Amino acid sequence: MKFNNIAIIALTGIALSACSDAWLEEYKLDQNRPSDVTMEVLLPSAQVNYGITQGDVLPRLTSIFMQQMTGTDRQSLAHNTYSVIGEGDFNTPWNNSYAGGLYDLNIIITKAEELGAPAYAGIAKITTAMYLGLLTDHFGDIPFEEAFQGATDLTAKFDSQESIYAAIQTLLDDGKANLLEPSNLAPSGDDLIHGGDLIAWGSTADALKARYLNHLSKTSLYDADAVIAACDDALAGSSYAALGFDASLNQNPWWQFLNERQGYITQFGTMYDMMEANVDPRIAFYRSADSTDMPFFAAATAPLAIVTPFETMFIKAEALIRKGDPAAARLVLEDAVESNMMWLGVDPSDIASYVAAMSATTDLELIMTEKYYAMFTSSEVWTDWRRTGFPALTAPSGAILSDIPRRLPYPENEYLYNSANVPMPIDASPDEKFGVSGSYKLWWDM
Amino acid sequence: MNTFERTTIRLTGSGQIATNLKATASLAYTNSGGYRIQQGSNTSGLMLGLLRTPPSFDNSNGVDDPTDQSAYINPDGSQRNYRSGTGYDNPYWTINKNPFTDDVNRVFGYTKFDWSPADGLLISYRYGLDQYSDVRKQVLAIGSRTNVVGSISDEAYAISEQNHDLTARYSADLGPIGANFLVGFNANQRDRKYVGTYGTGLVLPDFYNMSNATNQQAYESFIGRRIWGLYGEAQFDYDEWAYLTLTARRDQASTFGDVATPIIYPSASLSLILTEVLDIKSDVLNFAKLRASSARVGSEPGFASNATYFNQASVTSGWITGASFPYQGVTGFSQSNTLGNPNLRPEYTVTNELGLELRMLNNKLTADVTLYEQTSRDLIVAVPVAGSSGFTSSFVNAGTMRNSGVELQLNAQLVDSKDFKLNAGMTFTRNRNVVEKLADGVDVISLPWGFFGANQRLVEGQAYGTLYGDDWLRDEEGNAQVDAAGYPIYSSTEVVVGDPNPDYLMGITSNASYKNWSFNMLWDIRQGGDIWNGTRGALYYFGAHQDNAVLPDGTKRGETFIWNDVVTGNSGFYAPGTLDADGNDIGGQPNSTPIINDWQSYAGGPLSGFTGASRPFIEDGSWVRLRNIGVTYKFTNEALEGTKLEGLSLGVSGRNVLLLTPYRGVDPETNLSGATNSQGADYFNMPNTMGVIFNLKANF
Repeated sequence: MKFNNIAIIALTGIALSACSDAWLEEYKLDQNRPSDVTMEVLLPSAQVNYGITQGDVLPRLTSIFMQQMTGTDRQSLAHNTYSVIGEGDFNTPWNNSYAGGLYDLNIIITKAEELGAPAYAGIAKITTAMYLGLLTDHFGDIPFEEAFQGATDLTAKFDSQESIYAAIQTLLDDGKANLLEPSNLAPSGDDLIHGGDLIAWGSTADALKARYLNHLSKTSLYDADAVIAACDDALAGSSYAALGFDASLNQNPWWQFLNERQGYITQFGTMYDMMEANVDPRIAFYRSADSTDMPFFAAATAPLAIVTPFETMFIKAEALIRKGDPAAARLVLEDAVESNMMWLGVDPSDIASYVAAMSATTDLELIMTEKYYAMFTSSEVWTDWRRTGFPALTAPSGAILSDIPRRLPYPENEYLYNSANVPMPIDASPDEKFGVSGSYKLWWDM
Repeated sequence: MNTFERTTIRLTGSGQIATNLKATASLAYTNSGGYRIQQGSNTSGLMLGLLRTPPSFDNSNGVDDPTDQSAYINPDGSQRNYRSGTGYDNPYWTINKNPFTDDVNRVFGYTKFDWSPADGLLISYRYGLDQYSDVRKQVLAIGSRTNVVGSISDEAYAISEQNHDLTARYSADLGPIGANFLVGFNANQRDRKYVGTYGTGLVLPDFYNMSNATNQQAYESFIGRRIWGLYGEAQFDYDEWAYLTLTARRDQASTFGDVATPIIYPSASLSLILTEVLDIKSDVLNFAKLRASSARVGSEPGFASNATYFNQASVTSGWITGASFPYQGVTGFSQSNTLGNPNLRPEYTVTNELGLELRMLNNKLTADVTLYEQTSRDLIVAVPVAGSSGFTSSFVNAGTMRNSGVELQLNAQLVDSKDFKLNAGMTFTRNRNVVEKLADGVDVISLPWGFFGANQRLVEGQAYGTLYGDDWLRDEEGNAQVDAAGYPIYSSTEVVVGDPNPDYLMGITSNASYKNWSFNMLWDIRQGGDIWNGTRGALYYFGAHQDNAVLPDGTKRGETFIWNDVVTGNSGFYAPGTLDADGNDIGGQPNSTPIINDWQSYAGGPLSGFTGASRPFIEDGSWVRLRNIGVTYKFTNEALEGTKLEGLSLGVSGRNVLLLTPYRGVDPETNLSGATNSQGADYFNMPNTMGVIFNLKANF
């Protein structure tokens, strides 16, 4: 009798277990997160990711390097002398780019092909080119061809900067071509930069082509005519691209830094000294009376400019000077300065007096110095200084490097988890890590 | 003003429903909650505002009442603090204006049926339920430093656990061998549901309903797990001096990629009563038992590690809040940075234990010693991967970790007379932990808290949670390198700086009673365990630490001293190629250049936590603590005659009364990242509490 009861229990147990796999399956997946999404939710995410990456730690560091602002507290104070900057600082912008924005853009390009939506593919390729340009100008050789493989290949090789620059131009050309093709799906409100205006994207792509062709000025691949042609294409359309922000949430990253880390950075330095000597009317827009705030660039809703027409004009002026045509360069230079000042909201009579008072000799130094003022808060300033040496800057006393940095060290996570592929050894000297000496300078900076 | 209250009601009952069938039920209801204050490493934390204010500014504005507004609000309504509204919140502002409140309602109970259909056979079914709701609100007033536009966070959690156990027990006597058998079936379900709203941009002051927020974001999530299993146990005893227990269990869980994956865990244990085996009958050694056991325990992966998902998009940065979605009215998703793994296997831990229990001297002295070794394999780890792959972590079965150690317990009845009794006890534990392997190609995994310069990692070959940080440049012998000005040279490469695991833990208790009085004491001792004193590093920068007024060696503010390296005890050596004022090469010589004890060395130089290395701020976190000391009086039966009481006792005890420690911060028993698996960091954490408890117990 007792064995009968044990048998009943055992059978009950087995029976209960037979229908329980279904009971377990109900809880297997996370019902609150999707396993697949549409392109229209991936695109805005990648764009905001790019905006924050372009507007957070990278331009703050390069603006301090270029003495356009000064660190006055905590780690920013140390950054003046290039101290307390290490591999660990760059994990976030790198991972946000590769594992965040770039990976999502990669998914968009794949989906766009499957769904016959080249409009999305075009925008995604152009945005990918923007990311690659930003990363390679800071870090040099970076992964691309083997990147985004996920489980298939967790250790991507680093491609040479020369091949990255070629990839950027290919992406921009392919992107522009995609935008002209008929598309089953097209972005509208999900495109936070151009609102779905594919023609504007084409112009933005032209401006980016001009910028990255221009970066080759120290290499033998530089072609001034190609640069000028790209500039003309861009200026013929509306190439202005920027990301917008809100007042009480998702504020501009400069606003966030100045408010959440007050006093870390103050608005004085070599750039302001030079601007004061010129009685530059932009000073009141760049810094507040007590130098703690940046009224134009750090308003909560200040847009973060990605591509501006005045940048393209400066590029054209530089190309013209390199071709040996200062007269033509002068006209474009004045347009560039005026365009920049009007964008800031400077009074037209002040603009006129400033332009009239500019040095009569149009040379590379004048163009690059004016661009140094106009491109304030962009890390393009650092690229321009590395290419041309203008304006002339000297490292501050107490600097722990022998000169101003010319590149950033690779992020720590690549050393830890992809060490075989990182081109620079972890025990390189500080001067080598920052490209001041040694063989790790950027390819276009050699 | 930090408060926490709890009320509990419990009812238990049982009854005989039918012959051989008994039912028991118990139900408890608890309501708890409180008003709590921000702490830790955030701009609106209490300790940051409190400690970083220079001594020349009085946060209280001269008033004694902490709720007096004149301490923290200016006549024009703005916040009164040492930086005119910037910097950190006045601690009085934090206490009064930015509270965290919570309300938890919990129901906890079970119902059980026991049926005995035949002699020696018992069948039971037990259903247990633990369910609670936790409603929380965190407000930041307009003008608070972490969010000047103000914010409200409303969160609600509904959490429950349900458990079914159906078991059959059978006992039999087979001559000298007694046998007990158990067979059972278990099903367990855990649910955790969350809904939260976050609003910023408040308009009406001091009004904290979500309708007052110009920007609102809502979140919801659900985490759940179901497990079912079959288990069995067989227990044999021989002549009541040898005991053998064998168990086996087989589970299946919902968190595997394939829910049919079994988790199997067997165990065996044997104990021998040596005094019976060896026929020892002595007053010196009354009882001795030897036990040995080996058990394997398995566990399932965490929720959602079996697949790769898309998350609501957001961009975070270590420096700024970043951006979140919906963004300007648009929804955004991004592929998760964590690669899921549908092929995860169970984790298994094998524990081997050997123990000896002794009772001596007429049972007046007892000792228990246990040696153990525990090896965990196939630990499921979110292995970090290089971001260029498109992900930053991936779930794998990879880790192997070993814990080994000894536990010792002693207890002595020192005095046992009619009126006076005295008892003393001691526990001692020593555990050694080694992370034997992480994953192929992975030598390091970072744990939750951490900044560049001070963080905690899992490293192959080292103890769990080794502390890493930046250090001074050192030569081959480990001596710090200094520059011509006498300052140590900073090196940005992070190195091992400490081990937060203690060498050993000890507890000492003592109980005494004299007639109706009883007295007890508990000492808690920890030897070893490093802590990063980030608070001190930060305060050096502000010049607000005791050392900035007078260094431990007596140097006052403004006076000069020669820098000293806490690690080696010497003052460092000049780096190769260092030139003195006359241009001579002094590289390699011992440092003899005095530096000044003022801001030039700390904020303007490398000696603070923000501007230099973190290694000098690693301290020894050992402690000796009087955890509890109390006295109780029990009324005698004579005293209670005439009352309806059958028993009455009154007592008072003190908790955390005394702390002796070389640690120079608030309390080494502190953790920056809260109740997580990392430890060893103090960065403006709150001090521990000391308490007095009054106790009244009455029997009717």
